[in-house]
Amino acid sequence: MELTFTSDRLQEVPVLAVAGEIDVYTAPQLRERLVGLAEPGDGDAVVDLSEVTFVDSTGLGVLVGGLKRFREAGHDMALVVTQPQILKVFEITGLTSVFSIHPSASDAVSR
Amino acid sequence: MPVSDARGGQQPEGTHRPSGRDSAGDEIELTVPARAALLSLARLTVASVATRANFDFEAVEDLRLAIDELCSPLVSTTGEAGTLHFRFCWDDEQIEVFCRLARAVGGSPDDTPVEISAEEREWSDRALDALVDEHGSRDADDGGSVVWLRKRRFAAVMS
Repeated sequence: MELTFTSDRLQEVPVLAVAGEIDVYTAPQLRERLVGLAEPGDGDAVVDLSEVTFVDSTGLGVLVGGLKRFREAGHDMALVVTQPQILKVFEITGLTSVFSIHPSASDAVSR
Repeated sequence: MPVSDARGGQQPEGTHRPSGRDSAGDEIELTVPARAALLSLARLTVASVATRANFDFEAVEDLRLAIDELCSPLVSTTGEAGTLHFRFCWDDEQIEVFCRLARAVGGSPDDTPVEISAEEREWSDRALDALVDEHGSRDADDGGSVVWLRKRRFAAVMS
């Protein structure tokens, strides 16, 4: 099972939309795409997980790794999460306080 | 040494029900190479079992994540190192999943264990504690590993 990715820009902010299941097998695909998403020194970015139907702790590890790259450069990597079961994963692992999580990409870039 | 299951069949050592109950419930088995790409089959199976057992949508999603977290440390990039034997048991009260990694003799030089960081293990433990009523793991006598979980129906209401 593979992830699918769509890259876009919204108000000049790079947005990476991910679809599929992020697990120990597919997480390396996400890691590779996050590295290519943007140079952290260039500004903020958004990762849209609206079409992600599953994420586990290895997927969280990749997302946190991406976030660290942006934070070290003084910027942010916001997330879009709309599905309750995905939001629950962030909640039970305590990562809702680490990520900036939004209900839509437009909301994420406007904050 | 194999032990008899509740139906009189032979069961590999260490795959008895974690609760030790002789339930009149149903059970199925699934055997797959211990390959990261095939963990989705375990998620699919537990979702089917939970749906059949009339667990609600949230509980089904809980079980999908829980079985993934339990078994991710057992798989490798190629799966040549062993085989995962799953046993899914359910009745009116609960679902139990038991998984044993049987290591292949010698393994393959190309086989690479999946790397899971300490942070990821911590998140995994937190998730498992939140998602199921009981979970555990231990090393097996043959050098493999054994993991299991139990989720009761309406546990939050009963507790």
